[in-house]
Amino acid sequence: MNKATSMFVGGILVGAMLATAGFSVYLRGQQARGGRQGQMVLKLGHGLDTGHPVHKAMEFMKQRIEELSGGSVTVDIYPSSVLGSETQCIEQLQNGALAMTKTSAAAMENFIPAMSVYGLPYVFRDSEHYWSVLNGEIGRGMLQQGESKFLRGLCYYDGGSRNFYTKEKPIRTPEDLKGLKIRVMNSKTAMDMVKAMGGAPTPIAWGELYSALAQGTVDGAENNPPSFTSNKHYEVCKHFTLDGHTRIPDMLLISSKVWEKLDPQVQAWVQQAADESSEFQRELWKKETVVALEKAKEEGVEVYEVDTAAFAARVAPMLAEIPNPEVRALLKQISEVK
Amino acid sequence: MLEGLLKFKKWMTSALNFVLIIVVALLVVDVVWGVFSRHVLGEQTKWTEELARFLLVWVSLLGGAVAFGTKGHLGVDYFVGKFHPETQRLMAIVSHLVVLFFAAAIFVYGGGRVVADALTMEQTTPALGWKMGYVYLALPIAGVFMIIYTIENLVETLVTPVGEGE
Amino acid sequence: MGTVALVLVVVFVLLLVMNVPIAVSIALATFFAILADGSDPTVMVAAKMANGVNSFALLAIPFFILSGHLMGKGGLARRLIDFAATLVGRLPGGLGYVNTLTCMLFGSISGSAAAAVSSVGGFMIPEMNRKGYGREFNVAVTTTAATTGLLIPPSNIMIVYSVAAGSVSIAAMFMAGFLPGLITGLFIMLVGGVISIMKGYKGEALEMPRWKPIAATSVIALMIIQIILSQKGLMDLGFWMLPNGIIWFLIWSVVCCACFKTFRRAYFTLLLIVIVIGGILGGVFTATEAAAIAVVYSYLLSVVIYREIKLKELPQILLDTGITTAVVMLLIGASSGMSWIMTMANIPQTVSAALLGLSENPIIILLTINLLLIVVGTFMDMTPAVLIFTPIFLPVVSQLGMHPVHFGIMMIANLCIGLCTPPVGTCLFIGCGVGKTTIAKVTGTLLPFFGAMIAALMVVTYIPATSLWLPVKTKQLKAEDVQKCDFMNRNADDPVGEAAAP
Ligand code: NA
Ligand code: NA
Repeated sequence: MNKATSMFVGGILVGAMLATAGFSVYLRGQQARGGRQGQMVLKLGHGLDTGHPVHKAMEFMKQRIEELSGGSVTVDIYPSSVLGSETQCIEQLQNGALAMTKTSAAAMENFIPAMSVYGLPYVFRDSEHYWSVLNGEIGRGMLQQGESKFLRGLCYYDGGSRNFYTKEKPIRTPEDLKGLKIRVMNSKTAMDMVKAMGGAPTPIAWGELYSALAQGTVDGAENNPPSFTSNKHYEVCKHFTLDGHTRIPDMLLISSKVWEKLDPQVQAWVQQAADESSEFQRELWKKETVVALEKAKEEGVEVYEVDTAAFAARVAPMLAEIPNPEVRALLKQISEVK
Repeated sequence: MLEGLLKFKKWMTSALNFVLIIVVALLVVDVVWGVFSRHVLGEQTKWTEELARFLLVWVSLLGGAVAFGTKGHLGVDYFVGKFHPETQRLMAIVSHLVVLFFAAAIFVYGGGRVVADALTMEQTTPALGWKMGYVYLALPIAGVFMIIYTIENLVETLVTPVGEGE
Repeated sequence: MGTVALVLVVVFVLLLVMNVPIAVSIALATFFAILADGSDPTVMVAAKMANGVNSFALLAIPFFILSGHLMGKGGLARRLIDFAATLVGRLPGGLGYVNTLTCMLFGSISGSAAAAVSSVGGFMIPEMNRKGYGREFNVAVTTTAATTGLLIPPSNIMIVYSVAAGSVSIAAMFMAGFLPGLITGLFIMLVGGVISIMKGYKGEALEMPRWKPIAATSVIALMIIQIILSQKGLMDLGFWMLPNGIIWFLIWSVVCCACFKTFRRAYFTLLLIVIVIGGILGGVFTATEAAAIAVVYSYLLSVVIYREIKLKELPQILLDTGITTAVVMLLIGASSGMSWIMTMANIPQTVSAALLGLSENPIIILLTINLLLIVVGTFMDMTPAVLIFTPIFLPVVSQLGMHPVHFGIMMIANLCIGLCTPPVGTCLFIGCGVGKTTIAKVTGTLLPFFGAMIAALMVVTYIPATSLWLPVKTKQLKAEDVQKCDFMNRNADDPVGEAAAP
């Protein structure tokens, strides 16, 4: 290319680049001046697939918000971690890039240490105790805990009770866990718990777990019945022990930065729809758990009812030695809820 | 003055290289230790996986800065190659300026804010219990090195006569 | 979509054309797109640059790069060449076959194609030049054959794909690539053979001791026995760690070592394949851990046993690894930001709708995607292409009922062609450098080899079993999920069904 032509083309390139950058600044200015036309969209990202009861509850919430607001407010849901992992979504809430997310209380530990109380074993006596704590003063208080970190809790979803399941050796008593490699979530509490019960905790990514079980990298894992069946772990693991060691709730969060910009009326709609979706999900979850256990039995899985007190006894020393005073106090308060 | 600067730059590069070498070696040791602990000691060490990920973040960001110094980053030089040499030089200058903006706005300013946010929000890491802000600290540090290396590249382009080099 | 997408595409293309580093172009395109969307881009892009690489799976990449460096400098490639020569060297055009086969063997212990071109080509191309083979032919064979290493496991690009696609198992990808890699290699050998016969390239005059035919017969007999046993279900393909698998492995080792001197010399190099693939399949370790083990193993081999690398060369090798890794990782970090804003702006859905609106026929849609990818591959390097186009095309093909593992293999097989095409082709650049020739001279000779690669791509695209049969056999994929993904008879509405982590 001769000098004049190439200077001309180069100039066009640079000019176009600057013009586009300027255009994006202009667009941002428009957005900031409240230039959004018509509908207000709240973006919600989470890590579950679309068949999960929590996702269905969010769909329900979206529908309710649209109904309450007469279509002026809606929610766009991005499932399956397309916007990032749980931790990344929480960070996006903190900087206001994302409006809402669902997170397990276990992942919240890294932002709000007191949340670790939900990950401890045998904190809740049964499903009723669990919900009266979550919907009571303690649970509501915990939802507000993140306020100073730009994370406002809207409601809880049922995370079910987690149980051990194994490939070869059934677990009927805590002694049976001895020496078994059990897959756990990448959380310190979960690892400590399995270790206290006598097993060897092995953190493995959830996506790799099926083949890890099939190949014998681990001897078993722990989760709630719906996750056990929807991921076809029953094909490999034929022993399911109903020891119910943990009940870790899921939480729906909204960025405080987004929340504060909403009109009080919209805030009320969002809160109402979230509460309703929580009720909706609780019912759905109950049904799914029954169905999942039936399905597992159909597939030839042995389901064992066990004496949970024996398992609880194993972790009692671990609960007694919790260093965080706040968590210790919460533990005591929870046990006092009837 | 110029000699002092060159000396400093040489010292800085070898320090950065040294850190990279150590971190890559540590990565291997860390992951092998994880396998060893699982199979020989019977229980996977808790922190190996997390430490490995954080070391990878550091290698990636610091190494990314070094690669601006060694001109190791991939680009598409096909179209620019068709230009007249003088325009090529002009485009090279523009490209360096773009990289400067990238390093300053995203790595130094944005990265600095990511660090500040993570520290004030007291975000911690699950297995090691470290402050996440320290992991993110690689962002602004890498950004500063990127700026230094890019300024060097820019000066080099400016002093090289048209038609030579690049 | 609309304006945000416009800003994203325009900034990206302009910066690319201006020869700004690709990672920077991606990051800044994301930056201005987020700005146009009304959010604060500085924090968002910075966080993604760090979090995008905060992944244990990606860690396998520096490890495979490092073991590749160690093997390349440690004389391992030479041993593989000698071994390949005993197998196929005598045929007409023998060195062409030896070259291709060595590239495939080298590919099965290394994660990158560039390593194969420089290690194998560095020795084979001068050797072939000396023996009177056409210089351009030699470069063409090496560059194209080296790409099979990206399909034959282990493979860095498969790890990148797994991460870009979300929860796709790396072990399953590894298994899925085996047959497509072999098919591509065979097609390249076929084309190379025809050209050799036309040009009258002779085979090598290797000595043939009298007991060799007997030995060869016993190897074939052993193979037949093993196939019969596996057909009767006495042994499956996931046999590596089972006691009978180990026994078979030992029998094979003894027989082959006894029969071929070159096999004996290459034995410890070939053993690495068994350790890496067997270890992953046998559940001994994950892909990342396997890669770390490969580093330790190739270190022991090249520094301690073969002693072809001196200890004082090690820091430089580690540094090179760190920088090469960082170049890839910066791309990955930047791309994870780009796919975030693309998702937020609903770009994948829009492209998906447009492509699906084009035709009802999966054959046509896949052909369109392949054509688009070939165009992309001519200008863009493989890693950014995978990172940018996976989130766009994966939803489309999932709608068709294609398995994400199958799509990944198809995409990689396609972009392998791009590695050898001008104007931007990493393998081609290295090949021309090693072979001391120019891109312009090689291009003509390359055309028939592109034909071979495209033929292999068509097989991979339209016969899902080429990718999916082996992972099912080795239990890396569930048979049920794969059956659901037979896109040639599409009707499944949710074919993927990959559940996320609870
Ligand atoms: Na490979
Ligand atoms: Na190309």
